[in-house]
Parts: sequence; structure tokens; C-alpha cells
Amino acid sequence: MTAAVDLAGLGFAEGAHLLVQRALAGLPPGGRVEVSGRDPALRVHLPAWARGQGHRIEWPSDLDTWVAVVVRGSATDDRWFGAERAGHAEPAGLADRPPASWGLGVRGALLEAGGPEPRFDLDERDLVWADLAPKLYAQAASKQWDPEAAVPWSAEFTLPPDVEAAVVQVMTYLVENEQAALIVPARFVGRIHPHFREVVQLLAVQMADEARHMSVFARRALLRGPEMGTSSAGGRSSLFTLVTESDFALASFLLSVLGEGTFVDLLAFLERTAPDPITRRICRLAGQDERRHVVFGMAHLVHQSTVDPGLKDRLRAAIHRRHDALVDTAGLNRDVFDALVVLAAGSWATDDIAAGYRRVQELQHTMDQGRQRRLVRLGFHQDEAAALSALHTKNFM
Amino acid sequence: MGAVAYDPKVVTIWEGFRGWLTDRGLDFDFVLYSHYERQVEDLVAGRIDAAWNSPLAWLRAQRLARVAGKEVRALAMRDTDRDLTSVVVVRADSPIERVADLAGRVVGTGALDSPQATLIPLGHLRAAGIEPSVRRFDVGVGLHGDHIGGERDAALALLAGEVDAACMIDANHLAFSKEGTFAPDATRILAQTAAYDHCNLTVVAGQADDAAAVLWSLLASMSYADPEVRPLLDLEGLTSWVRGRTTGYAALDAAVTATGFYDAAGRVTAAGYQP
Repeated sequence: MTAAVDLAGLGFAEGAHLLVQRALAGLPPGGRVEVSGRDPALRVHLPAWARGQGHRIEWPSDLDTWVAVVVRGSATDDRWFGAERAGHAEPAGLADRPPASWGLGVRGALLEAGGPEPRFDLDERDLVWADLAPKLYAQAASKQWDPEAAVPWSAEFTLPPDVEAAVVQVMTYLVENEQAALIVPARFVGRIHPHFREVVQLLAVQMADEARHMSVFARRALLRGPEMGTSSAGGRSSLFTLVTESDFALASFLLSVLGEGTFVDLLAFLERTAPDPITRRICRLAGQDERRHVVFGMAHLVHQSTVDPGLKDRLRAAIHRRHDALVDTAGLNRDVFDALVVLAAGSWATDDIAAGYRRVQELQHTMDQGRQRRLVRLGFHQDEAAALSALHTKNFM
Repeated sequence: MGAVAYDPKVVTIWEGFRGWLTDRGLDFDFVLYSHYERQVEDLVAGRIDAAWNSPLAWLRAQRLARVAGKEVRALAMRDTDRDLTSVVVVRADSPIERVADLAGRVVGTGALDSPQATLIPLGHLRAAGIEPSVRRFDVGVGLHGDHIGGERDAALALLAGEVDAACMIDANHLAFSKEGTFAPDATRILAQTAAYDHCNLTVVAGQADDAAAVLWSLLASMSYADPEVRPLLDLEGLTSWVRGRTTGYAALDAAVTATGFYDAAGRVTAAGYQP
């Protein structure tokens, strides 16, 4: 059987090959397509194109009009010999351990055989996945906010210089911590097998969240003056132990479940006690984002704990290890603690300072309770959860 | 086997083929040459057993072998080496309507040793009784036209009005059209040569015959369906190896003789040819 395609005036410099390919597609190797057309270069271009594709050309002499016959070669089929689908397209059909050969191929796509086999070492479903990830990503993407529009930067307020200084100190601390919270997922994103792309997407949005937090906290810090506050060696040591954790589960645990979980309480506290509308607003916005980060961290660790009985031991060991590494450091920057008390006090009256101090103590208690709740959800007994929570870094994050 | 290093990809291609062939038991290695003339001399002298030859190199190998009392064979060629054509192109608005109108005009060609962009198309014009003035674009002399530069320069000179016509292989005319070097309707194909063949893998009869037989059978077994060799086949521009045939070189042979490019003994006699 011979198919036919009339290219009319269409030339090979304008996409004529698409029509020829389409006509050939339905035929087996050896199948024939009569090609006619008016483009003056067709006689030159059609054979040159066909040759490169492994097709043959015949020139029937018994036809009046200009027609060539393209005889389909096998190269097009051969290219897809041994091709395989990179699993199922939908997350419901995720592979437990996608092969390296799927590499950068999109989940569910038909992959030509050959090509690189990049090593993504986080390639086990149980290690990285949470069924909640696609939904959380969609939610995260829809909840992105524009720092320019979402924050009342030009709101008028007046603060005494020492209260402004306390705000600047807290903001300085927040920028430092958000920076670490950005770097931690960044170190894993390139190691996760792209098969689990919703997790990669989620971490990417998480990083974008942290980038936005850094920018708004820094902008607030410098709103009324050119100087940032202080950064303690102990605080930086604490953050450094987060950044150097190379195990994905342990890093999620320390960062999201314990650190960001604690931060959610801190940001809620600041939303209530900050003395100006800008600070209150950015703490509220950042707090919403951080809650999402905690939810994902919890979701994938809860799943992992159901399939990996040894996980709890490793989590426990990670807390002890971090505590031991930080035992000789000061923990929270004293300037930050004092600034929190000043903000909670709202004035320098002795009674107010005492009340502010109490409120910061209550905050620390709230943080501790939250950590314990999450540890219990991960399968720790209440007593142990209390003991482990107490070992958490004094730097909060 | 000798191969000419007309492009860095030649190393990738033959390193890849070498690994594939040696994995299958053939003791195979390759030597890179900077031009075809020395490669052909070494082939006939027995310093290499096979040569991946341009069509011009094949013709010289034939002549050299004849004098040495030997016989060369075209062992294999790419499926894409068969039935190529060259074209002579003019600007669309040129008053040149027929090949005869090229008399007294300037035709841009590729390098003086390019079969497809110089020797064969000029032979085509000569057969039509036309001896135009020729402006050569000598890029990659000694590479027998493997380097696209001369053809591209001739095409650009045509567009700039520096020459009245330009010669090139059909696939490059397609490439220049697709990439936009030739705007739609900017040029017109004035003439197209008869079909000819291009490269072949040349061996000398009686020299490493057994290895040549194994080499052929392995080349013939290379499949485009094999993901290991497919990237190499793509780079080398073929979808399968086919038996070498020698019926597609007559036009070039006639042009070589007519222009005195090589003499009957295979000596290089082309004026100004310094690979």
C-alpha cells in the first residue's frame, strides 16, 4: 500500500518534513509514501532529508506530475527499540527505587535506551517520599506572597531607640537562621532522584520561602538605621551542625521537626508582641510558611518510621550527637534573649520587664511542649520525648 | 585503520567504535591523520590496513595501488554515502536562468580538494560546456571537503553578491535553508548533478584480509537499535553500514583526470594544492 502526501508549496526549510514524517508514521519499514509538491528545492531537499533519516527515495518514471516515493527505513523504529517508560506518570504508581537510568527523564515518559545514568543517592521512596507532598506543593505554590505587596512597609510608627534596637537584634537573628534553613534543603535537592519530583518541587518552594523570609527580615532590620545586630559564635555553631548533617531524614528531623517547629512558636510570639505593624506582619507571613515546612518534615518521617524500625534510634542519636557537639557553646545569643524580653515587656517599667521575662519563659515552655508532641507522633514515649526535647539546641532552630 | 581528524568528534567516534569492536574480539586500533594524502600513501604502503577515505582519497588509493601492483577494495560505506548530489545555486533575482548563462560569470566553490563543492559540480558545468571563472573558498585544504567552512563561505559570498553562483552538497543546501542562512525565496537552484557516492572504508586486497572480513561482519552487525553504538552512528551520520560499492565515483574520477588533480600514477599534481 502506498500513502500519499501533497506538500503543495511547503518546503523543507518551512517544516515539510513534518507532513512526510506523519505520513510515514503509520507504515511499517518498507512502507511507501508518494510525495508531491511545488517547492522548487523539493527535488534536492527531500532526498537529502530522507537519507539522513535512513529512508530510501525512488523516482517513478511513469507519473506525469512530480512525485518521489519515500520508502520507510527502520531507523525511526530502531531508535525506540528497548525504550521503556520511566514508571507511571502519577504519584500513585511511584517506584520503590527508580533506576539510575531513568535519571532526568520525566516520570512516565518513554525513554530512549542509552544515555547517562546519573547517581541520585536519595533514590528510595521510603527515604524521601510523603503522600502529602503533591498536595503540599500545590498549597505552597498558591500561598506564595509578594514581599512588596503583602507587607505595609510605609506604615507609620515610632519606637523608642532601644525598642527599635531590640527589633533589629531579633531580625538579625532571624535572617541568620533563615539562611541556614535555606541551605539545608539546597544540599539535598540535587541528590533526590527526580522520580520523586514533587518532593524536589516542595523543597524548591521551601527554599524560595526562606529566601523571602531573609529579605523581609533584613529589610525590617535596616528600615530605620544602617546597622544589623549581633551574631553569637554559639548561635552560628548551632546552625552549622544543621548545615553539615548529610543524612536526609536526620536533617529534616533536626531542621523541620525540631528547628522550624520551634520557630513556628517563636514567630507566633513575635506576631503577638512585636511593637510595630511591619514586624508583626512579616512574622505572621513567615510563620504560615514555616508551618508547611514542619508538616512535610513530619509527614515523610512518620511514613519512614512505619517502614524503618531503626529510624527512631537514629533520630535519638542525632539529637544526642547535636547536643554533644554544642555542649560547650553558649546556645542562644544572649542579646536575642534580652531583646525578646524587651519586646514582650513593651516598656522599661520593672513590672513590665518581669512580665516580659515571664512571657519569654512561657514561650520556651510552649516550644518544648510542641517539640514533645511531634516526638510523640514520631513514636517516642512521652517520657523520652520530654528528655529529648530538653536536649534541643538553646538556639531554637 | 586510518581516519582524518577533520573535527574533534572524530576522536569520540573512533574511540567509541574501537571499544565496541575490541569488545567483540577484533584487534582494532586507529591512527589519526591531519589530511587524506598521507593516509592514502600509508594505506598503499602497508603501514595501515584500512583507511576511512573520502571519495577523492579512494580514487587516489586506486591509482597508487595500480602502480604498486596492488588492488584496493571498498570494504564498507555508510548508508548515507550513497546517491548524493551537489547543486549550483544562484540568487533568486539573478538574471542567470540556465547553466549556459554562467559563461563569463564567477562561481564560488569550496576548497580545491572538495569533491562535492568543487570538483564534481565544476565537472558537471564542464560537461555542459561551461568553464566559468572560479572563486575558491579554501577552508580545510587536505580534508577533501569534510570541513563545511568552504561551502558556507561560498554561500555567504553568493548572498553578498561577491560571486554569481555557489556550489554545495544537497544536504548543506538543506542545512543552510533550514538554519536561515538562505532566507526563503532568496536563492534558486540552477543545476543539480547526477547522483554520486561519498566515503568508503578502503582496504588493500591481500593485506590483513581476515581482519578486514571480521571488521566488515562486525560493522554490518552494528544496529541502530543498539543504544551503545547509536550515539556514535548519529555522530558519524549513518543509520547502518552497507557494503562498499565503487559505481558512484565516475563523475569525480573524470573531474580528477580532467583537472589533473592526480596523475595516473596517483601523484598529487593539482596546482597550488598544499594539504
